[in-house]
Amino acid sequence: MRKIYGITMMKWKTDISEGRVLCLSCEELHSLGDNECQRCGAEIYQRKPSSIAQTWGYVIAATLFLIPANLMPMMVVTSLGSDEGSTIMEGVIYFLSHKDYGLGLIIFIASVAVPVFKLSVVYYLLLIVHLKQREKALLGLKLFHIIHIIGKWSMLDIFVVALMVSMVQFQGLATIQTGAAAISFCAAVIFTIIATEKFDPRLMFDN
Amino acid sequence: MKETSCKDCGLIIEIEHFDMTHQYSCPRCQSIFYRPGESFDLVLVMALSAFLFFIPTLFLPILTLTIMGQSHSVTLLEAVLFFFHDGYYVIAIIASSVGVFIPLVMLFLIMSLIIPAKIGRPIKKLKKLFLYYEHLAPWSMAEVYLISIFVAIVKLAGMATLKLDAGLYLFVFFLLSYYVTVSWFNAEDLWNHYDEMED
Repeated sequence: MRKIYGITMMKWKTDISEGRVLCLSCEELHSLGDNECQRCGAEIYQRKPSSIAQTWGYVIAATLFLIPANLMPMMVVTSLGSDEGSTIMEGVIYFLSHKDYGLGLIIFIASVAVPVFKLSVVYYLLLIVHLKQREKALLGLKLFHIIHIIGKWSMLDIFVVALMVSMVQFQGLATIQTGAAAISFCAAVIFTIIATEKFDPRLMFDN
Repeated sequence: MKETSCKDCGLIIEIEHFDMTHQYSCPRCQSIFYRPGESFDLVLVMALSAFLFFIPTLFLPILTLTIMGQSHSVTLLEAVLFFFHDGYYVIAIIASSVGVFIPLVMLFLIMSLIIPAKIGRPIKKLKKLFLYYEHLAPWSMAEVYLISIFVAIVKLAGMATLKLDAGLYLFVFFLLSYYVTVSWFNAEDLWNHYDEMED
């Protein structure tokens, strides 16, 4: 018996209480003790192995990479001998000053707001597990679903830079090169995606 | 009778009569654990049309740029190869694999998973392909790539005179039909399909 929101409820039947293992690839249910899914051949485990430790590692790496990503130039445009580097925020300001509010907003959301939001959510989820906040698990799961859906949209700016680099190739007249921020931003986004893949939301409900 | 467990909270769920056309959600955490996919025939048609859109983009120019009287047109193949010229290998590999290689591999995997299921071949050999598909699925980002093409064009239009060529439209159609293929295909249905065949 446990209390959620002051209501006493019957204990739910879970895979741990019943000694079952779910294959995360094909969603077949197995009994405890199997190491490989009989149906699809994937490795199976009750909870993702060392989920919390790996999530911490990737999320800290992502946070560290986000700092140079915002301070250094994302791309350097050379036109008639003069170099012009621009950071992510300068790119947003460029669109806003040219009255392209829609695109400016998209880039701001995709490359500044979303990465920061995603990292804070992952930290929050880890704290829910560490502090055994069972009543926060439902909210945590909603946030987890949200960052799962928006995760890939942070790659937008990277693709834009890469596309522009490959399309503008005038020898001598104008070139576009990727700046130091591009690689660190890329690393931050990829590490955040891996961190969410490694996190097992069921751990929040186990406490 | 189908017995499963919620991926998100671990609840054991028993479904009396499992229906592949219905959506099911967990009674404890409300997250959807089964979402029906489109029929395999439709997915196959979309995957084939994506391939057909892709082949001509390799040879057609995607756009022509004019800066101060000097014009230059780029094909997709040139654009991908150019990534590797400047030494930005990491960005180059990521951008070209997300835009071109991952979609192609995913389309190939989806087709090689569906066709044997349609003609009723045994699953044993398919396990490997299925696992590759599962590992690759989180890195499929065609919709993000589509929007970034749009943003890049708007940015370039401010710097040079742009002429969009047939290759670009075909490439956009390729990404769109690839995106539709992936969102219609439900890999879990493959196993339900084989389970039904055994019954």
